Amino acid sequence: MTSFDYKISRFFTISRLIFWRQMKVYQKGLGTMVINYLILWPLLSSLRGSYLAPLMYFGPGSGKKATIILTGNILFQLMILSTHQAMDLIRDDVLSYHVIGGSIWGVIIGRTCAASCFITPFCVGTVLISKYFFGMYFGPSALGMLAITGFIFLGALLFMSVSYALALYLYDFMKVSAYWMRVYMPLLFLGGLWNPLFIMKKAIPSIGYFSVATPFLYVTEGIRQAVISGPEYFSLMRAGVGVIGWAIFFQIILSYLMKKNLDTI
Amino acid sequence: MLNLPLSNTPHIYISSNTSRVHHLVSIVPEQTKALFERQVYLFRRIIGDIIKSGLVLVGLQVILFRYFLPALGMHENLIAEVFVGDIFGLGFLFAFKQGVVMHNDIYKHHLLAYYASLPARSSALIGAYLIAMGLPVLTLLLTSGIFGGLFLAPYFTPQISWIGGLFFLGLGTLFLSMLVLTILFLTSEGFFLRGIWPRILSPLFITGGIFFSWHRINAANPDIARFFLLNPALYMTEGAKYFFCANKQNFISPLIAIAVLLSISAIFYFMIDRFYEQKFDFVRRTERKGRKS
Repeated sequence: MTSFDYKISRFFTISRLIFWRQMKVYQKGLGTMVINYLILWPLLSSLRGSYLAPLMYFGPGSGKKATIILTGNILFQLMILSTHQAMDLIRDDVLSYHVIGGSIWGVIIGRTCAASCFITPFCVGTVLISKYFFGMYFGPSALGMLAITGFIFLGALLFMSVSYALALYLYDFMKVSAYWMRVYMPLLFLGGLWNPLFIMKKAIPSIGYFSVATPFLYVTEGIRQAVISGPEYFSLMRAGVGVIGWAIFFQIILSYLMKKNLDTI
Repeated sequence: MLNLPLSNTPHIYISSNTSRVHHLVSIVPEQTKALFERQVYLFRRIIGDIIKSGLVLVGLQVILFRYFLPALGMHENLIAEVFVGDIFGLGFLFAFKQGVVMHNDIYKHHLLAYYASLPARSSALIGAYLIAMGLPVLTLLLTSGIFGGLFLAPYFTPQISWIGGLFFLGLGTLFLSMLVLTILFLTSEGFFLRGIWPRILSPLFITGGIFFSWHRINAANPDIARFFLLNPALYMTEGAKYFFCANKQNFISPLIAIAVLLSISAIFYFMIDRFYEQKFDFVRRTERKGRKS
């Protein structure tokens, strides 16, 4: 076996082991997470976003406009769930052992994929509850649901990469919360948390052009294309390439931070 | 006996009971003052960061309400109402963030258990924690309210009452601080970090008039509107909207709002005092048990 073969086999073994370890860890608090993020959160955000918002903000029969906001607000859920996992990373003492004993990329892929697989059903649940309980405007094709799930998974992967990188870079709750207010929130805002790109360009063109360079925009544009569909949103291909590209970029930063902060050998 | 300074050794090295009582009486205000001074000192270290965060957040809100949501089709007469509600939304987020700091103070560093052993009154201790929680939240609300009010001035009522509005920002701060402190003292260590936002704060946030004014919900669905009335946070947002927005007759009367918020805050205070005694103040708890027996 050559050195390259050995590295590849170690990467796959480590990533697989870390993935299943994380899944076991997540099982412990699953009941609480289901109540919090698969029942309470979707019901409340659907009541606000799918029922009250169209009535109050845009008048009756404006479900599509409210859906534009609701689909963007999935970023909030992704952010909160990924921040939870990232905080666990700070508290997790075994991380440096994993990094030293295994392959850095194996740890990154195993952890981010496990966290993304864990987060995705919660966010898909929000979309489904919005559709079935509050009559949300919704893409009728089977491809719509598949594409929504895919984009939420990719979005979770991107958020996990960003959150892990941020947690490893700052390593302190107070600093994380300051960054959360001053960096994360503007990025979410420009990433289409409330409005899609075409509205931003229409309202303030300079902000619209600037927001194309932000990572989370590709997640919201992809989800909006999958849910509402229309030429004003990015195509699924463009949005998918954008999300994957940004996720790889942040994972490279994460690998650098892990090497610098944790790999003492 | 060691000759240590009395300020560091409050009640151990006093020989007779009488002099100990006198000594305790004399140092209670000193300890209380030190508790308050610590919180103010900590606040002064972070006030710049809070104002910066507040300016970033309010800048985003101004862009959202002045440009983006109207471009999506939101009526312009809703801008002031939703913005004022949203200021309290930021207050909720910041109170939660401060709650996490307090949580670490109480459960991770066990500072409260140490404070409880000091000869300071429980009211002073609760007051110090209230200041630690309230000052950052109030700073954020004032930053958002003042700067938002200036940038969105055309959408507010010309008869804007800054005194009334700012008073309600203060009252809102009191309510939010009391709420988070009560939950902090009432719940277990793990619950606060995992469960407080989705289970307690999020329902209060969504039904608290942050995104919608009560009269509009009442016009759309009176059943849901009645349910919203059960939430004390609604009175905080409605009271502020009364002073900042046009068509004052649409909002809940500020007198009712003040009465509800003060009553709820008083109830919270008694709950905090009770839970503080049960969980942290072993001396007072033992004395109470002794008196009963």
